[in-house]
Amino acid sequence: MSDLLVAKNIVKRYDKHTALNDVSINVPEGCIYGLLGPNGAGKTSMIRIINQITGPDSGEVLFNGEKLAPHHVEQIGYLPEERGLYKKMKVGEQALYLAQLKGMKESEAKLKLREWFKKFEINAWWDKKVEELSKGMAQKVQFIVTVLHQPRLLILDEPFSGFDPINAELIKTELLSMRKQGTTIILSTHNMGSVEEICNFITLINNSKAVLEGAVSELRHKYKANIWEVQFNGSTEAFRSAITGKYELVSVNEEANTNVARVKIAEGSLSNDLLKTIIPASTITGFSEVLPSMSEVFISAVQGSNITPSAL
Amino acid sequence: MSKIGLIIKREYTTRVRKKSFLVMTILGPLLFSALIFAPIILANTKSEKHKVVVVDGSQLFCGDNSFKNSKNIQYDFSYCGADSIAVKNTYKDSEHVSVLIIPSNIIRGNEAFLHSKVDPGDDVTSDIENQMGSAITRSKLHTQNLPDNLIEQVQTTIKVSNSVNNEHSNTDINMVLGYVASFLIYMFIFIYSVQVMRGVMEEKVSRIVEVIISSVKPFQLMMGKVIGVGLIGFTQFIIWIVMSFTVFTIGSNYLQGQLATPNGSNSSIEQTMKKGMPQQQAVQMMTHVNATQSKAANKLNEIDDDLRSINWPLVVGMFIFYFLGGYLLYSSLFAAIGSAVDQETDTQQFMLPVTAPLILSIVIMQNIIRDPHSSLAFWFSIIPFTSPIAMMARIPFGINPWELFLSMGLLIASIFGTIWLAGRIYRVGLLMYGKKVTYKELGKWLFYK
Repeated sequence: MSDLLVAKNIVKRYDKHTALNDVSINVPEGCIYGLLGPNGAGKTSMIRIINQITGPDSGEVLFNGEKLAPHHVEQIGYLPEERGLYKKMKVGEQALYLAQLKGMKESEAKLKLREWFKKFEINAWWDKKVEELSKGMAQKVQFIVTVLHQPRLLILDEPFSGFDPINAELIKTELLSMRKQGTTIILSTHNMGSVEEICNFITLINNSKAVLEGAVSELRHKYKANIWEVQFNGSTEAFRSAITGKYELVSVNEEANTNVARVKIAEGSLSNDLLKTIIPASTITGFSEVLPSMSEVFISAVQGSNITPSAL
Repeated sequence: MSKIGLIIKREYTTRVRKKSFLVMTILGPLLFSALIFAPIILANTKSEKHKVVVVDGSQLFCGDNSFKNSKNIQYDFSYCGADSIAVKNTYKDSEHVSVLIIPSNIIRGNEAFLHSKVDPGDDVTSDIENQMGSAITRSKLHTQNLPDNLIEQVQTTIKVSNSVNNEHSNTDINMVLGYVASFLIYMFIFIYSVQVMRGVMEEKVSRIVEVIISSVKPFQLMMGKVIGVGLIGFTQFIIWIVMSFTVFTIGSNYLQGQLATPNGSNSSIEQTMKKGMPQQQAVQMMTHVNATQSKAANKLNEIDDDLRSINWPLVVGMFIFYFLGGYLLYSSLFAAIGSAVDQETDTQQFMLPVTAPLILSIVIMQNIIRDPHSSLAFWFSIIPFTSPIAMMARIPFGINPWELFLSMGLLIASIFGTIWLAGRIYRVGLLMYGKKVTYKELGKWLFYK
């Protein structure tokens, strides 16, 4: 899998504030790439540089191996965090205009728009003015306009903020099906749930620096704490007394049908040894390794740096 | 179509379809002519004449020498020899009456006194001064025992007939033309530059701008808007030209028709006269009719000559140049202002310094028209921020080619300068929200990468 977009050592300064300090990202083709971090970390600055809205003070961006140039905008679709439309313009006319700015021919854009309008069931809005639409309706139009020209790279800044739950779900589904068709997607978010659900790769930006990057599955393995979840029937007391020495009981919960315990294994021990220890004490019904959630990964990744977990 | 072409097309089509464009196109000429001619009409239709009651201690003006009533002033000589204090008291509460007290020694003292409740203004005093002055001159000549007809001959009115480079030139027409042309440019610059500013703010406030500048360069967006709105102004201008040309043609055809028909009806008058009237009376009447006709025809020919004396290709060409030049200069600055602020109320602090040269040049235009070759007129018509208005006021009077070229060259150079400057501010300003922008900040934006 080759990298569609590479940003090398990007530095961006505003006045006295440094927004990006030597940040590099590699976005492989055909993945969903998450740019994560608290507000003000520099995500939007990075996204604007990739969109050529602003230029970096130093560093370079490569698109498909070439130095990023104005003609690349036709292969990029961008949905900014603060999104709007011309209020006085008719929906269809406006969508056509924005599509043409992305280099589409008018006839082609019209055809594609009709398809999308049908898909999202908004055909009746074509001749309505944007000011007559509700916010949720306008969001659908904005999304269509962003993806209409079938960009190779789709960039969404905080796509799930501001969207109502139904639209958010609709867009999530669309994003996943677009990835299947080979579109590369970069999105910035501080919604961790959506990261685990749809992102393949992430970069965590904090205080203008990239503090963590990699594939989501690898990161969760890398930051795992050797905690195993055991589901068992029988006395919790017996279970408790069996956990000694190399093992540390993190928690035990008695539930209706089965008990659930979390046990931390010391470095170098094997899960099989734990099983051997607890089998005499209880009836095991389930046994699995606990992988940290992405939020937990971030917290352990930035411990020491001054990131505030609540900001995630 | 190129991207800037698409932007121009959108700016143009969305505006040209608006009802306000149609309304403005139809009402515009009425509004402009009202703005230009209303003061003149108002000045001429003063409802109440100012009355000047004359108490003449010298008895010089009471008889045949009384002042003539003018358009706005009525003289009352009924109190001519009355007691000045009593008359003053009678009128002390009347706002539209002044009491003129002429002392007995006016010939030596050269001073009369005007008492009013409110200051009647310059028109009244200068009319009194003129009439009294010439009356006293006449009376002084009388005391020298000069015969009346000689005195009459001494009183002379001179008309200066102007000719420039051996061609007939009418200062009045030049003044009106200069006034109208530069006023139109002023209005155009203001109306359409503010439209550009509003358009920029609309894009910023509705937050569509970030989507657009991910597809096109901010500079393309700015220039597309400036050119699109400029074309709207140009379209409106062309429509107005066509409209006024049509009205003018119809009007002058109608007038010529009016002058031509009496020739036809002459014969009928001739016939009726021949029937009943004694021959001599009829001839006299005919001469009179013909004289009135030829007088009207002469007047029309004179106006026609005056209009022909103007170098129309130069005036129209320069009008278009300064109209576009002034618009480009100012609209890009207005675009920069629109990008720097979040709401209309914040525009004030930046509007003032930008519009100051515009307003200044319209204020001093009166002086320029009165003396189109003064150094004031020269400098204002050379400095780019005032030249579109000031130079347009001067052009009908004729101008040195080198001054014109200097002014045009400087304007073109400044257009490039301001567009560059505005573009630098614009691209940063568009994405700045919620910040109260200062001049210092704007200065920094110029150097952002």
